[in-house]
Amino acid sequence: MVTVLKMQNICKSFVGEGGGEIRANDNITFTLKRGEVHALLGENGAGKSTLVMNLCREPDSGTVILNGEKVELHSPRDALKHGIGIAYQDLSRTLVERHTIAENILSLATGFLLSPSAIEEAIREALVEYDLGELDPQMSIWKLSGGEKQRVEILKALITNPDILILDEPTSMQTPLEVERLFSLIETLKAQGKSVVIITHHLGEAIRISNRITVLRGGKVVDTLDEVRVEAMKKEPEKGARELAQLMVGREVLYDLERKGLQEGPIVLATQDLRVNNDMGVQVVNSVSFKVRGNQILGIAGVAGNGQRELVESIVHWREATGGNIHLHGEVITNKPIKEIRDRGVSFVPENRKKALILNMSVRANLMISYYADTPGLFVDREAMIKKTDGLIKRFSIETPSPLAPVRSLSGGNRQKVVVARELSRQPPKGEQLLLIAENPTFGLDVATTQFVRQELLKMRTAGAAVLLVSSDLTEIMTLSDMIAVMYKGKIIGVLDASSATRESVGLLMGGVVGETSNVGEDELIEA
Amino acid sequence: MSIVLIGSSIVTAATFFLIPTLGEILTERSGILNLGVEGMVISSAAAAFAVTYLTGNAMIGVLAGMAVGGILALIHAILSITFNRNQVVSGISLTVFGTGLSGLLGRDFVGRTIAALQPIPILGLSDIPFFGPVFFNKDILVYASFILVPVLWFILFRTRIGIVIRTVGENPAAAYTQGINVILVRYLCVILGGMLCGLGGAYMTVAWMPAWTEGMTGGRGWIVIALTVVALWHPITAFLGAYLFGMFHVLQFSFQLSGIPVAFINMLPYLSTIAFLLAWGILLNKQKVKRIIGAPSALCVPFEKG
Ligand SMILES: Nc1ncnc2c1ncn2[C@@H]1O[C@H](COP(=O)(O)OP(=O)(O)OP(=O)(O)O)[C@@H](O)[C@H]1O
Ligand SMILES: [Mg+2]
Repeated sequence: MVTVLKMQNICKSFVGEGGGEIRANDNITFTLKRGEVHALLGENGAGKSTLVMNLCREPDSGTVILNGEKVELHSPRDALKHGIGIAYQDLSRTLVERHTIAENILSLATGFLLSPSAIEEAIREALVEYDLGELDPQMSIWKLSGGEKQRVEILKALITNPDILILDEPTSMQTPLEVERLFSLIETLKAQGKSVVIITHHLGEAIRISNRITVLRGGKVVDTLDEVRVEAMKKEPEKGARELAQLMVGREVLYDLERKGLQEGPIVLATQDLRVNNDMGVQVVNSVSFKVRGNQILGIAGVAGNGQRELVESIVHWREATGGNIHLHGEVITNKPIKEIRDRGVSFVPENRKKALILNMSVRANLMISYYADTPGLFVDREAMIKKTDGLIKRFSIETPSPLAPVRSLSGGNRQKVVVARELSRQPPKGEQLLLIAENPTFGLDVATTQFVRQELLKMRTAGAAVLLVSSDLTEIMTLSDMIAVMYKGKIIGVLDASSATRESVGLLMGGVVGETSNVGEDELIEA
Repeated sequence: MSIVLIGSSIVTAATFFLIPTLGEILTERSGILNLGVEGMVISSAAAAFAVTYLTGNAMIGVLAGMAVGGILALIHAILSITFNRNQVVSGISLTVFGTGLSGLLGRDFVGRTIAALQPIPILGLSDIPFFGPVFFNKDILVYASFILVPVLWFILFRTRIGIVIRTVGENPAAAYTQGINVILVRYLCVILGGMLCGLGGAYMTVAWMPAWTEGMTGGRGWIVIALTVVALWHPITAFLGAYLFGMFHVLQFSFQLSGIPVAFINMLPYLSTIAFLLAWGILLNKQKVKRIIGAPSALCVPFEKG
């Protein structure tokens, strides 16, 4: 096969806040053949996004060779001109929340006049052609779920009809069904002779879809697996994934989590007929009742957008509950001030990291936010804070050039680690259990970090905390939960004991299919 | 005063508020806040007067006013777009600088007079009772403002460049990743916005009150900034807002005999601005509403590539 793209000896460094140099890409050589899918793997911060960004921004050194010719790509405009389409990872930098899908795809706005109907028609056609599922072109971006936004971003790249398609973590928020669709789309593109670079943290997916795999670590290429080796992995994906994980991390990755059987603790959180509206004022949580005990992880499974976000946000009062009650340690906390709720020992790891972090402030400041109030009086005990935050950075191995670097400069995974570190290290009031609410806590994280976060959740469980885990990742739900509640259209349509639940039974419920098994344990859960 | 005269003066005052507000809307829609309106308006008022006096041609004076507005805006553009300086500081400096500049430009022209722009009655329309003399027996700049409102609306919401401008103002990175030259768009919007401020300034000295006295805008440029917010960055509401403010402005003179303290009436434009901001604040405070209308999301946020 012909090589369409060759990136040769690419170096790209950033200046860290402490003045130190971050070598995000350190002499990387990467090739892409015509009609191949090439997966780019690596831990958070390995330099994957940085590498593909060199196609729309000058690297410090190195050459980009496109179809045998040396090219200089200074801007996304140049990339577009050369037939490179990029679906970016950081959607907050590529989509306009206030505009509709149609208004977001500028490449469709041709000519002087804007014809919304023509653009909408073009989008509808493209959605059918690429089989990207249902999306209403007139819908504003802010109303979309994470997965839908990703599909808009992919559509935006596809619509320019590129020869080379770059997908930077396109599946991190998609449901299994949508992932299937995307993969068959990629197969079609491949058959048309287009080339695809896909960045993902799902090793199984990478093995399945790609012809070759390049693994990055610390800004360097660790290995490029050729067709033969990838083909071999396809036969034994489990083993392949382990092998890849080891390449990425550089050591054996703990793959199997240990979940000890524990005596259930007292009831920590209970909701009764909880009702919550979404941003549009539509009720999306319809009379939900459940309870979580100490030493227990309650997993809430469901396809994203079935009311899970509104549910958890109402518990911490990021959002008003319109009806029903929330009890914490037996006391009503419905719509109480956020600080009061948190002070009673509630930690929250939201999916939306931007809301949990102040991007322009330092890692240290972000870690400290929850502890300022710990020192009584007017002043903050700086020494103690520094010690505490340095400890957290170490314990959670947050990769940052300095504790004073702004969180904005960290990679996505390390940003999440900051949130996790802060929330998991909070102390409940004496004699009570911590309530930890985790909303898709491992979304966008690399294998090692994912395993690490999951391990920490289990540790919290062992330490007596009640954990409410909301996740659209079935594997995560299955491996961590003691009880599994499935949410569908704002209701809990089934509760299963994790020991008897199977992927199939949970999967069916997620699709709204209520079988006989679904009611197992529901009484136990609601009777509170 | 006759009712027609009052109506006519309202239109005149409103035009002075309207044109720079349209300019500021265009500027802010691209994500740049230009607080230098007062400075641009007063400098261009002085420049337009001086040039009209020297050439005897009011249209050349108007062009000179627009040029001065555009050049001052260019300074703001260079500081805030190219050098990513703080837009608030740069804008306020521009106002201070512009006020000083106007004194310099107008120094030799205090007390002189020029022939003001003449009203051009519009055939057929100017005969309508009340509305005719009030709206359709005015000078060409008033008519220009009538046309500018729908034109700006059309450009912003019905053309490709409009969606590009709005995208740049909402999320410059999103525009950049789709091949848009963010810097260029912002420069154009700021400069064009400055030229409209210049047009407003010129209108004051060549049409409204054809004389030059130092500090004659009397801080009215600041009302433009408030009006932009009150109008929710929309040309049509800006039109309504400008006429409302024009009304306050005229009433301030007509009510002087009525026993209401003049100082209170002088306060009205500012008081109403505060009232409006408060009202919007209460009405628009809902998350949902905020996501639909409000300041351009990237207003005042410098754009950095990559
Ligand atoms: N604009 C920037 N300024 C400073 N540092 C940066 C910038 N972009 C990336 N970095 C740093 O470069 C390194 C590589 O980042 P990159 O985003 O390429 O990682 P990644 O492999 O895509 O990770 P993830 O899986 O989390 O997306 C990280 O240490 C990151 O902090
Ligand atoms: Mg990345």
